Parts: sequence; C-alpha cells; structure tokens
Amino acid sequence: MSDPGTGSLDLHPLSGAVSDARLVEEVRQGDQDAFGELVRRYEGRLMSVLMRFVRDRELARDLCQETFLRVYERLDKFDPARRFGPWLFRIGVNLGLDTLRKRKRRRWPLFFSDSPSELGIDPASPDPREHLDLQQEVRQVLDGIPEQYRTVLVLRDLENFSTSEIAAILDRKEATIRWRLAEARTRFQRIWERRQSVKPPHTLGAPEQEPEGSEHVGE
Amino acid sequence: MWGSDCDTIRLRLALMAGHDLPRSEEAEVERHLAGCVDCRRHWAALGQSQHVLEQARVLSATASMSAAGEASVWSGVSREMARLDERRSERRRNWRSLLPAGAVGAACLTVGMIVGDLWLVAGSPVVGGGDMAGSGRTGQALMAPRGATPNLPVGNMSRPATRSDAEWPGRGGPVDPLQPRASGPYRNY
Repeated sequence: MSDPGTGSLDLHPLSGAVSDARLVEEVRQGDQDAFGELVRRYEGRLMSVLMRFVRDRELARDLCQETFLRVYERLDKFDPARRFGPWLFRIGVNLGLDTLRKRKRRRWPLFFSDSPSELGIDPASPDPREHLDLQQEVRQVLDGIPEQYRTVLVLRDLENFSTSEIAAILDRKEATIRWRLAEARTRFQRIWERRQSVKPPHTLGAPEQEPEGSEHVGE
Repeated sequence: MWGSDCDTIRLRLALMAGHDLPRSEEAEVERHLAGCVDCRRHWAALGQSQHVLEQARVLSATASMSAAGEASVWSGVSREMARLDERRSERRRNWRSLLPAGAVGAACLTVGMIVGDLWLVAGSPVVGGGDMAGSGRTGQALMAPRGATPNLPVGNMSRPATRSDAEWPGRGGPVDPLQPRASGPYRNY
C-alpha cells in the first residue's frame, strides 16, 4: 500500500506525473490501469482517514475498497472541472460516517479496537503503552465531541488537510469549516483539561458524551 | 465570565493554535492577549491540547507507515470493477434485446392512431351525425351522458328530414379526409 503522506490533495501536481484529471479521462475511455494508478495514488491517505473514523483496519480496508468502487461507478457523473481528490474523500468520509452511525444504532460495545496490531504500534519500540495511552486518551476525548466538529478536527489536526480542502471534502464554505474547527479545538481542550484534572495518570474513564450533531456530506 | 471580546478572541485563539489564523488577524489577537489574563491562560491551555493532538498525529502517521507494506486494495477493486462492468454490459444487452419489440410496439401504436383518426373522420357522429360504430347512439346524443334526455326534437334526433343519406358524409356520401371538411361549427375539429 502506498505511503499515506501528509499535505495537499494534489498529490503529484509538480512531479511530472500524470494529473488526476488526465487519469480520470483515460478511465472514462476504458483504461482500467489508469484507475489503478488513481487507487495507488490515494489509497494510503484514504485508509488513514477511514481508520480515524472506524478504528478497525479490516473494516477500513473494506470501506477503502468500497469507496474506490463507488468512485468508479459514478465516474461518469464526475465534473472534470472539479478536483478529483476532495470528491474521492467526500465519498470515503461519508462511508466512514455512515458506518459509525450504523454501529451506534446497533449499540456495538466495541467502538474501537485496543489491539496493538490494529493500532500499528511497533512491538519493538521501548514502551508502546505510553503511546497507546495517549492515543486512547485522544480517542476518548474525540468521542465526546459532536460529529460535525470532530470530523473537521480529525481531518485538520490528525490528517493535516487544509481548511479549504476540508471545505471541498465536506461541501461546506471555508468560513463554516474554520468556525467548526475553532469550536472543535475549544471543546477538545475543555474535555482534555477536565479529564486530566479529575483522573490519575494512565487511567481511562468513560467518554464524556455531549449532544451529538449529525450531518451527511453531499456527494 | 468573559466579555464578548474574549469570546470572539477565543475562537480566533483556537485557530491561531493550529496556525489557521491569517497573519493580518494575529496582531489584534496578540494585543488582546497582552491585556487579558484569562485569555492568556486559555491560550496556554489550548497550546497544550494542540500539542497532544500533534503527538497523536505523529504517532498514527508512524503507525500508518508501518502498515504501508500492506497489500494494495487494487487487486480487490479491479476484481469488483470487472464484475461491475460485466453487470453493466449485461444490462445493456438486455436493454438492446428489447429494442425490436419496442419498435414494433411503437409502430403498431402509430398505425393504430392513424387508422383510428381516419375512422373517426370517416364515421364521426359530430361531423356525420350517424351512429358511432355500433353504439346505437347518435352524434349529439353521444355528447350527453347515457340515460340523460338530450335536448333534441322528437323523431329523427340528429338529422334534418330534408337531407338524403347520400348528402351526409359517412352515410353513403363521399368522404375524403384530405379535403377540407364541410362548413359548420365543427369545421376545424
């Protein structure tokens, strides 16, 4: 699988590689290998984003595959004047959020996996528990933030998308995204501080639930 | 409780903590910070939580790197794409197989409409005043619902006694649907 990478959604604009728009056009003309190139270009980043939402590597992999299939199915409807990356991630993020909502409706007790292999902790590192605790703690704080803010926070601060890219992915105005980001960081800080002040170190408590806002991103 | 200035500044502080505030706005925020202890405290707390998020990002990026050796999803995707294409072409084939039947149906409908129109012109009770194909009702009588008493003179209900059958179209008189119809209220029918 390709390196998830960090940064812009235009992954190869200056490297001399074929542009996304060109590859999309080739796929439309029946070249499946061009779609393979798009898959390899985006799968790492998409897997990383999906893992943030579902926290289960196998499920994230299935969703990743499903996202690319949906993209392939709807490629005729894609407006080539727009950027391919945000469109792909919009479909992926929607799939991730839908899966989370279905899980919540079914009241699955295991909201995320604690297994080190799924978290990708290297067993050879000196003490993976410390990292595990921090990751778990961050996850639990994130779970206490309503979805519409959490999604923006995850995409910006954990996945390093720019606010304009998030606006394109979530199909919202950039001003809305910036406002939600500010609100999300404030809420994260508040919950984080509260948890740190009431708990002894390395003790995990139940997530603090706040009223959950729900939205679905338009495709 | 903070003033409304502090509320606004705190939203900007949250953006500034992640370098998302335009530089032009930073100066104003910094001026406010210089004179507001509460906001300075909040700024410090935001810095800490932002640092935690940054650490979590780096850790999971490392985890993703270790998972980077994982097989690509392309093999699974391409398999499903082949299935999808097969289903699509099957649907297209099915649709094409229906084309001749649809064309025949459309042709039948068109012929039926033309024949029906000719028949109506030829035997129309409103033009000819005769019986509608075995309905037993005459032209004006057809206008009224069955059972209602038409406002017609008693006797031969729809044609004047002075005309012979040969003078009436549809009653033995010559009918040419391509020719303009006889004068009367239904001329432009």
